[in-house]
Amino acid sequence: MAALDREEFASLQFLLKAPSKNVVRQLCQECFSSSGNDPEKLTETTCSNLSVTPSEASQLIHSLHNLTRHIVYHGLTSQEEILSLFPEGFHQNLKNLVTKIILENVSAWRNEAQASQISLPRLVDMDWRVDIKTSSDNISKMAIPTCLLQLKIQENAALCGDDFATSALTVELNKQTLDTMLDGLGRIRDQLSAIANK
Amino acid sequence: METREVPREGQSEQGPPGRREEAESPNRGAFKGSGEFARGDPVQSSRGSEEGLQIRPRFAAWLELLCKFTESSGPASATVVWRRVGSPSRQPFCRRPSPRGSHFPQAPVAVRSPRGCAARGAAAAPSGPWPGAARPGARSARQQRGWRQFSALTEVLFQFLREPKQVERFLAQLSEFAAGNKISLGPLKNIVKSLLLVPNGALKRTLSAEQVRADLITLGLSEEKARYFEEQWKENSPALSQLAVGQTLMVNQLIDMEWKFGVTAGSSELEKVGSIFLQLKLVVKKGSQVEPVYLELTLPQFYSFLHEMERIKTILESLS
Repeated sequence: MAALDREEFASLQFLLKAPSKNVVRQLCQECFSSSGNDPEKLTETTCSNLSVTPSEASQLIHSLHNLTRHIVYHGLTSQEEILSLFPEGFHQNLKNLVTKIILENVSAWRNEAQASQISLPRLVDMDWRVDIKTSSDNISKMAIPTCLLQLKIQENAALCGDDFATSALTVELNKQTLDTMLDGLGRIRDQLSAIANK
Repeated sequence: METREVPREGQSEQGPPGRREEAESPNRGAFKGSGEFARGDPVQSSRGSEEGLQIRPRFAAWLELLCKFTESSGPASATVVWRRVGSPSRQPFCRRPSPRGSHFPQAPVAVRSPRGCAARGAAAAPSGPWPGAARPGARSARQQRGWRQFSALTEVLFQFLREPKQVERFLAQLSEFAAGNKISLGPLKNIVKSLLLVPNGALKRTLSAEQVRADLITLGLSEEKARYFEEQWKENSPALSQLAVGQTLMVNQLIDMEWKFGVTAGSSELEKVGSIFLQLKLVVKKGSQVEPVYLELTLPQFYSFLHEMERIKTILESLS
């Protein structure tokens, strides 16, 4: 499946109007990260940088977005692979420039994609404290240690856009629970190392 | 429902640990009303002792009844019990040994090694020689039966204390006991209710076995019965304290943890991923409800989580 169709590659030609390579570079990066949420701002800057009409700018942004995403999706890492995406007769220098820029950024983009992929709520931070219970309404004197664990959990960032809803959950554990938990975690670690050693 | 505490101040004032008025299961949680906050208030301790004095005679009356009817010989005394329940004694508390208690010089049937006896200054103690030096053949059949009844009742009591959720079974055993010994269930229930105050209060104040026995003797129970009770208390007290500790307040207690880990094969952004993920489900008890919390961790997060948990475990172990 081709990355982009003819028209989209045609709109990439607008990059030729860029005043400098850095502008192109920056544009590529922003196009990758944009998820269509705030196209106007990007369109405006594109317009001003490249002196194109808004519709042309949005086409360009769209094409660049698709191209970069396609490359990251398929994990294309070599120059030949990326060069082969462009159609015949595409502007040579532009082709090389765009390829070079993409190659520079592809691993960073890959990490970004991985970090923003959907998941269950993520653990962001963890704090704990150990208390000693000395007295209660059931027993007037005792010395029982207990642990309070605070987990900061972040809801799925992709779903909420840029609005990260972080909730804090405080949990109390007694020694027995902690031991059982550590048993489970130890088993996970053993299995992980078994897989890693294979 | 109000609860008033009697403070325990050394050996001079030995009273019943407190009073709870509850309908069926005296062993359940006490706090049912706002009277809770008055408990343990040092300002009220002096008032508490006066009330303690008033509580004591009633309690002593119950205990004496218990002693009396376990020694009783039949339906006639059952009627006596019934009549007396309505009018507990109002006399100021004094050490009132059961009149029959002094006829109990012999060893109980279940032989135990006697502890230091004479040192305990017991005005209420039986005047005869100590259990260790007993004359085995001298017990009357009635006393033996009384002893058996007492030990059976204590056994039922402790069984309930060990498993406070088994209310039906406890009540069933009490009815059996009442039927087997030809006493009416109602007064028996009342007496047992009061009797349960002793272990509950002792647990609350973490009294040692000797203190429990001394309390019981002060309240008028005979030496040997108090001793027997102490024995049972000693056997059961670790389990009972564990139970009491288990009832202590825990906020958002972690009940269960489930986990799975695997490999992410692909996503809509990346065709081939191959990274490891770990998912945890923590089951947290919030109030009376149980709430699951789902978490995902990456591999480095998991390792630091594990590291922190191990640190906590070392600290907890060094503290306990």
